[in-house]
Amino acid sequence: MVALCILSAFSLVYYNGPPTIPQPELITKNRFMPNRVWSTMGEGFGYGVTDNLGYNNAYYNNCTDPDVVVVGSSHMEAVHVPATANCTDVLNKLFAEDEREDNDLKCLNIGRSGSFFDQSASYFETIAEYFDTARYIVVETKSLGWTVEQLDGMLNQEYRKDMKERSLAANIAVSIPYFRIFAKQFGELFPLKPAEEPLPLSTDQDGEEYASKMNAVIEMMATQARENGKELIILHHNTYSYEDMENAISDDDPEQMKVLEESCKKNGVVLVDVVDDFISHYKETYQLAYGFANSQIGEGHLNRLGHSIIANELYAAINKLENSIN
Amino acid sequence: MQIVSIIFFGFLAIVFSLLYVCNKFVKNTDKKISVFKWILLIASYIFVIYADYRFAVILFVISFCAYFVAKKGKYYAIGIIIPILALGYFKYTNFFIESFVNILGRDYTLLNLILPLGISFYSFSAISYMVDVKRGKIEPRSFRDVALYVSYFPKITSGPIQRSSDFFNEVDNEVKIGWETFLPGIQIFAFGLFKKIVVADRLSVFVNQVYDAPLAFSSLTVFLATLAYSLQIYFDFSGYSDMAIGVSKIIGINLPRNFNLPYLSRNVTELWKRWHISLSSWLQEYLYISLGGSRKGKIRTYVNLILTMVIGGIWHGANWTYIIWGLLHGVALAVHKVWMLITKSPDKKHGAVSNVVSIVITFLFVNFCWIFFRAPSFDVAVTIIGRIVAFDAGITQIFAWFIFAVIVYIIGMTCAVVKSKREGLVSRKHNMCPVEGYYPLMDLSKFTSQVIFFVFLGLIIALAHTGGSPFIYGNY
Repeated sequence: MVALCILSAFSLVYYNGPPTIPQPELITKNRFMPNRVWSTMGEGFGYGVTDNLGYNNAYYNNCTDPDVVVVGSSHMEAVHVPATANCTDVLNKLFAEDEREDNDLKCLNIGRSGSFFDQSASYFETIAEYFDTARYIVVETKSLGWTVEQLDGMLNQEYRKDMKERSLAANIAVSIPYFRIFAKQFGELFPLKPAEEPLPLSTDQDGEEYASKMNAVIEMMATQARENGKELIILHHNTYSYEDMENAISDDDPEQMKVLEESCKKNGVVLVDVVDDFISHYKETYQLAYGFANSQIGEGHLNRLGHSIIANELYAAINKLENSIN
Repeated sequence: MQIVSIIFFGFLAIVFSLLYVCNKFVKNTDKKISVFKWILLIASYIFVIYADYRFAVILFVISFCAYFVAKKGKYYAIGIIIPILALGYFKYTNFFIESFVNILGRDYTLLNLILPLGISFYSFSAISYMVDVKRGKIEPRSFRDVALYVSYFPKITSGPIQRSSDFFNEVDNEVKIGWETFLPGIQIFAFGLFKKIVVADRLSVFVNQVYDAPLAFSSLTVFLATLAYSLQIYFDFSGYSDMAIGVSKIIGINLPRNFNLPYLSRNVTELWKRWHISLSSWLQEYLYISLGGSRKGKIRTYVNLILTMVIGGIWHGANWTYIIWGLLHGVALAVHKVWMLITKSPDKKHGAVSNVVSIVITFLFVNFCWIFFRAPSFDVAVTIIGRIVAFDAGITQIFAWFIFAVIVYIIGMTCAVVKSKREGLVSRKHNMCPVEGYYPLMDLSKFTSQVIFFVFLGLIIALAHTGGSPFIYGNY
């Protein structure tokens, strides 16, 4: 017991993600316990307090009337950087410091670890309906390779993973900080079954069919957004490979990237693709947008730099949209 | 099966239980020792068969060869050549094909060979047994005993390469199994586990990335990566050795220490008394001395040193970089021998500053040599070295776990230095460091010790790198 207390005290600093609870509004698969201190030192150095809604927002603690909703995976959840450094909070700061009176847009981050594009597409209609005040919904994606079957699944909203209530025993277990990291580490060190991967990248398949399905998914989401008075913005980011100081190449499949660009263009959806910005920044400063001092360089999750670049690009894109409306 | 796996822990639990029952219920001492050996032998073969039954066949053949030759008291040359041939075939065939056919400019097809588990280590064990019998150091043993010595599962994968006489001294006597062996053994194992999955595996992340694309990183980062590799290989290999020693201790058999704070060495001669001790002493006893040692004049001594270290380098792997690594150490040993002759440094006292400078220079030299050891090719090694001295900009990363590893090493070193000073340890020669490493074992019957131990275990699990990284010496 004494050892468990000491280890739990250590875990409160090293790995203290708040327990997850069901999301009754079904806008994401689950949410964090609201108003809980969290910290992550395993990858990156993140810390903060969850907001009143159970997500990672520091700038606005109880943003029930956002203008911009940011949806995505662990990159948007952003527990690897301090709460004030995630792209949504940086975006909030940019809007707040904007001198234009009517440009004080409020942004809400509902990113959740494991909620890749497939889940975002499946929850999108609910999100669009739920946030009355929102004018923009930003959907983040990193991987572009899905099979035609998976794209069909998104069209049929098959990838919802609504969380069920935990048992009492499970709730007690997750309330002890050390048990959470123990379960995570033990499961990874001694896996009983292979780890669940995100949707695998597409294998060889009919390019035309892939393009057609991808276009259908983007069209579906754009329509759902507009029916609820919102505009869809697709945010794409990805890692890049570097052999030396001069050269860096995006890890994207160029054909798949082309399909995404064309689908967005066809449906009037703004695509914010930050990969080139990441690469330009790397060539100028040798700084990478992914990775941390305690993890793989240039791999893993977005770091402060990555979030900052994304925030600035989203800020520019949303301002452009706002100006076109006005 | 991996030594860090649920299945191995289950396997060990079964072996321990069987030995415990044997200890408790078999009354006759001779019978007890015999049953004990059979249990260990069967367990060792199960361990190997689990990896691949064909490995067990090769192991059996080499063990039988060693037994037969020693029993007959003749055909020693053939007996020694057989394990060398087996090692050469599985480990070096493709290397020779690639290297020499490239020179001839011909096309080639590599053979589809898998390196049998532990062959680099147990072939040396088999050779040492035969030579010890030939030299009259030990009597020929039964096949069961020889097979057990060669296949003993805690040390088969990556050593230590224990002398046959020492091993038989352990297993020929009644072993008490119980808390008195389990408690120290589990602590030593945990110590090794911490070194491997917390420190070494974390460092590997940084080292691998830099070595994969050195031209993208700044000179400082590349240099730090080379230092990180020096620590990685130490923590990885000494960690594995600790785990092997700990597992063996649990089942009542003592294995020899394999590392003794090698980076405290003041010169390269001392380094090889502190680094991979079982291999360096094997090379000295069975190769260097067999070549003539220092008995055939100065020039021949230096040649023998260089040749021994080059063969030691080749033993590590089928790559020219290992040969260069061995050559560098061989030349350094020869140069140091000359230095000792000229300056009489073993007989002269040295000041603190001189000692520190010696330690730093030795470490930097060893670090330089590790570049060749780690690099996948000579070209990459040269690129790494070129990058360091270029003082160029690039991606700069001060890896947090590298700082952690340095702190851990300094703490360990400091504790050993303090303990050695308290015990008044003195080195045999003035140019050697009078510090001995030790395992900080606690009395786990005490509450405070239990708390500390469980906190330590909990931290190992919390901080472990889960990305996985194979034992470096498991590849050899």
